[in-house]
Amino acid sequence: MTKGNVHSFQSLGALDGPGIRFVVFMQGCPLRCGCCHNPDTWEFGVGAEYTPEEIIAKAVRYKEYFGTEGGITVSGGEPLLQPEFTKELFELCKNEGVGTCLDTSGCILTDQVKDLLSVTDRVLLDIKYTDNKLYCKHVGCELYKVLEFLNYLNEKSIPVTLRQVIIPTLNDNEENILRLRTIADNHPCVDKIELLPFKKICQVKYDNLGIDFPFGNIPQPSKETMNLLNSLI
Amino acid sequence: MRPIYGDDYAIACCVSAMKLGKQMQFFGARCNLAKLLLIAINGGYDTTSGIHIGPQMPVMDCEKLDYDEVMERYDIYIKWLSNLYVNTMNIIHYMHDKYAYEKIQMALHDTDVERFMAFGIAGLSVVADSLSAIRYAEVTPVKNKNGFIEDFEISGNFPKYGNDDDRVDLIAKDMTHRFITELRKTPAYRHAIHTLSVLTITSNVMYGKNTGATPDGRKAFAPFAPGANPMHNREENGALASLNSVAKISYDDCRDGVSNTFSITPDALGRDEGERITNLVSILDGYFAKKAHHINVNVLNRETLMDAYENPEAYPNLTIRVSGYAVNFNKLSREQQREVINRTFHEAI
Repeated sequence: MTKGNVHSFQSLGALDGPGIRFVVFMQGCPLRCGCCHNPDTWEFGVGAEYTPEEIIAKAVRYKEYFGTEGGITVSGGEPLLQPEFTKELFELCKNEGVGTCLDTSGCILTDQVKDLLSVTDRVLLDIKYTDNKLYCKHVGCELYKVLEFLNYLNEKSIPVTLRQVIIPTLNDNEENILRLRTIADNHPCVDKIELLPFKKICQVKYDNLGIDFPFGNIPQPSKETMNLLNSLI
Repeated sequence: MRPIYGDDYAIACCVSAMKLGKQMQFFGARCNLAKLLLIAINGGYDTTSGIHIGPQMPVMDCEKLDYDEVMERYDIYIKWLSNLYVNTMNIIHYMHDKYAYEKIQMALHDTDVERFMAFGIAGLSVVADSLSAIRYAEVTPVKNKNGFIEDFEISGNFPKYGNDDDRVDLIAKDMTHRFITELRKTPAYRHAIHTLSVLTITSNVMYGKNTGATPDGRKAFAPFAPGANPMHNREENGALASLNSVAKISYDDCRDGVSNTFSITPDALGRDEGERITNLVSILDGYFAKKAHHINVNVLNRETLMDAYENPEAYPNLTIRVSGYAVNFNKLSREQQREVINRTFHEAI
């Protein structure tokens, strides 16, 4: 039995995928995004261990709330670091008629990840920057990997919500949104783009962990900026 | 409610269902179960008023509280109070009928009306968490200079009501069952049927104010959670886990209603108006599919309430729902306003 290393659960997820979702936050992430609002999920192996059976048993307790659209979302951390576990969990979801959604950075595309994607109903793909320089500097990975991941999703016709956190001075500009749109247009599997305002409520998490919040000095985007950028989508 | 009352029923008071014109209820306050637990542990002595008010027994003398011993003791006091509670209600309603019979209202009812006597409990979540702490963690009683238990030291973790954890949720469910079962043992005035509610509106503040520190870690005189709600800020798995916990309380035990007051910020419900509406509908559908009885929904930001607390003149019509009532925020006492602000708001994370 594959065990998963889990950070926490959220029984009411209304923002991470369609409808009402039971969200599983996996422990461990290979990236170090400056805007990350869950630094407590970075370190690998320090969460609680669960089998896929244990998690599906929790999730089905909320089945009545899922309606036709909802289901389970596996987020993180980075779920692609634990592909076998996540795949087994999604297979159990399929047996129970629970929809499956993956919230990921898309930085890993191994055969195991491909197996996982074969039982994934939707991917929330967080494309952090559309500029490779910014991507390397503030994420610690290369943009082409995400685009390869997206190409694969497109090939397999897996529905994708393309997401990006809008961070003032870095990507809160028109050119970035236009590039984002071009990427979406070139990949018909993308049926939705979500711009998420950068939030600093996580400062307290960094303080508790005793680590520096890399974007601690960047302001949150204004409502006007968000409205303007959203109007370009 | 429809399987029990048919189609032609209505809600009286907050959450009490009745067949129109065919049923009526004798209304009857609440019993503070959390305080009763403290009185039981102290052998009939109430530390807040400083008087002996229940059957006299020795103060529980032990290094740490044992679940079975506490339950055995608590049962004795539940039996005592249930009998006293029903008899008190019987006297009140006998006298009420004698001196202030509601002729006009009763003229609108059938001659042979069916009567309910509505009992209630306060502090359900405090009792459930306290018993859970005694069972799953280590609770050491702290005595005052007169030898009565006045505080508790808790070490270790324990499951808390509001997280969809059967270990503690079933304690809450069992408590309502135990209490109504005991109440039924004393016949009610005019053959009324005993009913039970888990409903406090805003009086959970007052009940808390008159109750010492409890084994769940709640400080002396701090407010209880309202109605059947879990205690503030003890939910670790989000809003639906909390709803699932409350939904486990059986309506068969609590025919006078199980009230849940739910506050959520607009942002936690979805990204736009359409999503928020659909998602709220899914939440309500799910909750009632779980056989829950009642919920009040407040979709607003805590900041709005905090601003209204500071600048009441700017919010003359701010209406919030507490238990079965919609109340004007400005008409609550300052203390009640603070308590409403401190209630758990389910926020986006």
